[in-house]
Amino acid sequence: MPVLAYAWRNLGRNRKRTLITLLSLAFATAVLIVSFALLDGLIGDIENNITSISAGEVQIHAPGYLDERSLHRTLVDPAGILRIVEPTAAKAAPRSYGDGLLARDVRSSGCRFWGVDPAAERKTFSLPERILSGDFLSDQPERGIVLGEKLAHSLRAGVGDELDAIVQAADGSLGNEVFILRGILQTSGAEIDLSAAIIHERDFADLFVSGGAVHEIAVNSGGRISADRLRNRIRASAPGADVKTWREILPLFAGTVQNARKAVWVFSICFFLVAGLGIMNTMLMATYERTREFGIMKALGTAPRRIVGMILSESALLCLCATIAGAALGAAASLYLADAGLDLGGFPINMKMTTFIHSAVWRASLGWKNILLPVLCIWAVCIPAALYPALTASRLDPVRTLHGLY
Amino acid sequence: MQTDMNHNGPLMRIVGTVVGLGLLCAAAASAEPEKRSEHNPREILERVDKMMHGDSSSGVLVMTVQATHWTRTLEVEFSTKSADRFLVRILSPKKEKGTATLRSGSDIWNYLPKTNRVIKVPSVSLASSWMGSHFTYDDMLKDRRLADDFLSAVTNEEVTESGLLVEITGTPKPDAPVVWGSIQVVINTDLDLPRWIRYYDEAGELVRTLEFSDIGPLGGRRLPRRQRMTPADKPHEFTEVIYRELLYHPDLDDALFSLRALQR
Repeated sequence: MPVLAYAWRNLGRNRKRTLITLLSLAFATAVLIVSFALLDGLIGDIENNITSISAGEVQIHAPGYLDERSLHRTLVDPAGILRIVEPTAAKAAPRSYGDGLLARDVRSSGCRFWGVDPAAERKTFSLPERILSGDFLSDQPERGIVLGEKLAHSLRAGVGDELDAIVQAADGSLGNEVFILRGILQTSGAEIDLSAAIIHERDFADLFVSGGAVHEIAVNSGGRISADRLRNRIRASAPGADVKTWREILPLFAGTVQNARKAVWVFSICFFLVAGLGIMNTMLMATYERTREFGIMKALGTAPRRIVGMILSESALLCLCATIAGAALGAAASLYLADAGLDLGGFPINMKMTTFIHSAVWRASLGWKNILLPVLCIWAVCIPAALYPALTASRLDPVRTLHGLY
Repeated sequence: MQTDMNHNGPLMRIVGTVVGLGLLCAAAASAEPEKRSEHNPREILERVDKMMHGDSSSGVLVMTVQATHWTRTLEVEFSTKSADRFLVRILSPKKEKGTATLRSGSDIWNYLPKTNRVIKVPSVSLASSWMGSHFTYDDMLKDRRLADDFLSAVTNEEVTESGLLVEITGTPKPDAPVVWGSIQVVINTDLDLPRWIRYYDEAGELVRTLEFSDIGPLGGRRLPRRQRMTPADKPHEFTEVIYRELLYHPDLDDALFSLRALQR
């Protein structure tokens, strides 16, 4: 097509300028692609951690339990719910919760006791493997206890130490027992770090006089079944219980994700502005140099429309080459980061402060959307940016330009 | 080892009277009816006080707690000396055996045998329940000086077959350490024994009722052997205390009311 041929040739008239503009656009595109990929990678990582460490994809409670976490609001038929999950690809872990006090020597700290079935926890979640020192609970109740990292630290407790548990039991009495610290957990989210005191479910029943009551069943399929489908399936078979996906239980997370995406978009807008201004500048220079040409063309009868078209097609071609190059570069970088990732171990910011846990290596996650979106946005900015010089050029008065009076 | 512990009350709102109130009530003065004055409320309250802040005594009682989420029965042995010292120890059930509470002066401690810990009950927790009952630590702490702490007036009289019931309404004196807005004490003046006490909050709402019943021989005197505390907002709940044994001692050893003795 002659239009393309003209555009190509005109771009070639000042190679340096064309190249610089092309590189800056390509770079902008690439940076945006990598940013989106890293963000998606981070979000995916956090989501995975939430579901696989201890929260699960779906949680089942007695109606109203989550409002106050009352010791007395227990599931009516936990065994029945476990039977529903059993034949599916998902695994389930039953838990009892009760708040109380842990004391060692003169130090004490409020905590949340988890009564768990260690075997079920091991099958369903990765928490039992996240051990900093010591071990997780054994399958038999031996008055062992596993603490979150910060809780253990505030009590200055080490593996093997004796800890006193003092609680308000379900029958109103003052429950108190001695436990032995079996293990300390790695950082696994703020709530666990600060307050988790995990004991065998039978020890929990003794301490809290709870008769084996269960407050929560957490279900994890490792991604094999979508959380929504899992929830619907369980809900259908257990109408009396409150069945929710982890997203419904942690609306804070959805909000955080939204904010993170918004932040990246704001950052992207800066890049768009730069790209747009770059193109505009380039085209302005190009048209300025060729004013006499446009004058002659107009004198010869070229419609202004065609001049606009010419300039736009030049910028379009530039954009096209730049975004192809940028997309290739961005995709390559993202794929590398998806594999090798950014090592966060050396960061001074203590990632243990975060509510949501993410891995020590930040991996990107590349998707078609991540590539197309920045490319389309760059286009959407650059074409209008070239419009201004194009229109200016098309409105030149042939007489004045030929006399050198631009 | 002492630890400050924050007693969070059980899930239901707790109202309760003093075990000590019950104890003191049991430590009655002589049963001889005194010369009846013209229903001077202060005198009547003084007689009740005298009966309640009695001599040193010890004994065993059975406490039954009926709450929304549980029912529990405790067997408790107690010792009390004057108005400001007592020691209670749980005898049964086995799970709670050995748990004890000591009051000495204005301090209260709990002892938990399984962890061998003595825990001081901080003033911020005084309104919380004792072992899940409708009695609070505050009840155990305050000296029950009805005559001194309240401005009283006779508000009703009723002749019944068990005797003349006189109702006295008391409002706390400005500087008295009383948590109630007002109280109503109904006393059988023929027997000189309280029949019930109603506790109202600052807004005049009834908060709880303590009822005395089953008058019979106890420790050589005739006393109400059964007390029931019922919260007004949950009438299906109550804590009932029944005295099984009571013995008066001329003077219990002060050492009995020490932290060392608590940790026995």
